[in-house]
Amino acid sequence: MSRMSEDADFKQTPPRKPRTSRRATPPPQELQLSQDMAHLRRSWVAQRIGWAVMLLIIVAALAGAFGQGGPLSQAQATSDDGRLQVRYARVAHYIAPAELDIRLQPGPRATARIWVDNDYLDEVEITGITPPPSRSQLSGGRTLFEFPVDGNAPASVKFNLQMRSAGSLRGHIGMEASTVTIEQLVLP
Amino acid sequence: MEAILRGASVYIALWIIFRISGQRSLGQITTFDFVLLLIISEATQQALLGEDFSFTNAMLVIITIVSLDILLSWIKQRSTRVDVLLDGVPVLIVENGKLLKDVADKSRVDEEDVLNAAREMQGLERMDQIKYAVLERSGQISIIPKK
Repeated sequence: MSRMSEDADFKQTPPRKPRTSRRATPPPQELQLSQDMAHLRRSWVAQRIGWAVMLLIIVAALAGAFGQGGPLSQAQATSDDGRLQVRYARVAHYIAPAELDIRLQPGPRATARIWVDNDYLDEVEITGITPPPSRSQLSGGRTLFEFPVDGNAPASVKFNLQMRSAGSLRGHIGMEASTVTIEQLVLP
Repeated sequence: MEAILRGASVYIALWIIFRISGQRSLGQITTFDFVLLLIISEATQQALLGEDFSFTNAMLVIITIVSLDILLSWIKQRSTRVDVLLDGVPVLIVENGKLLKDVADKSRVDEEDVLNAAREMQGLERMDQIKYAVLERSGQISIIPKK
């Protein structure tokens, strides 16, 4: 016995675990334990089904089905004439930041005027626009954002948003004649 | 996708940190350790949620962490080696009333901790009433009194 205390490096590994039987057996008669074996077996089955569902959710989320990046969550909408392209997240979260990445091919004018319909703007909050527009104008059911443009090279504007309502959202964005429709699902 | 990555990273990082800091950290119940735990949970929340305060994000993070927990417990059940790696082993620290000094020092346990546990668990008065004391994997000290 004293050898144990002298040997400071004595390895204390636990014994091998015995394989426990998978079948549930009822408790012995003398033990006062009310056990509903049928319910126990059903709940084990339900648990395993639940685990499979959770694993499915995780795999779906990694693929982007719940938003936040990933191949399934990114979408792109291009106008018919190809001059306007909007990259956005198909699935977004309520009270979470989101982004509209607008790529445009400017026309001959010195400014590019991007309009967004007010129905969409009511459901989101714009936290920032990069670069900031030189002016904004209210026109009909739309809000126009004007950006000075230099030359003919393709340009991009980023709208940083925060989703302010849950559910499915449809927005219309355009620049002069080119329009684009985006559809987003905002999860609560 | 970000929720899953955040949840998994924080779970793994916390596990590594607590495993490195030794079993005693989790077993202690002084006021300061309680405060430490609160601070850790605050910092963790920021890392887990980021700027996304939606219900969906919270559920994804929780599902990730709970699933990781279930997965690890399933692996531990099937492999002794993984079990020891993840949870450690119990450590004998007192034998026949005598504190095993070197083992106890390495485990950051002193005689006061053992006497504390002896009083709380068994109502014992002195070291020589203790047959064995074991530092369990949870950080608690369990006492086997002399008959």
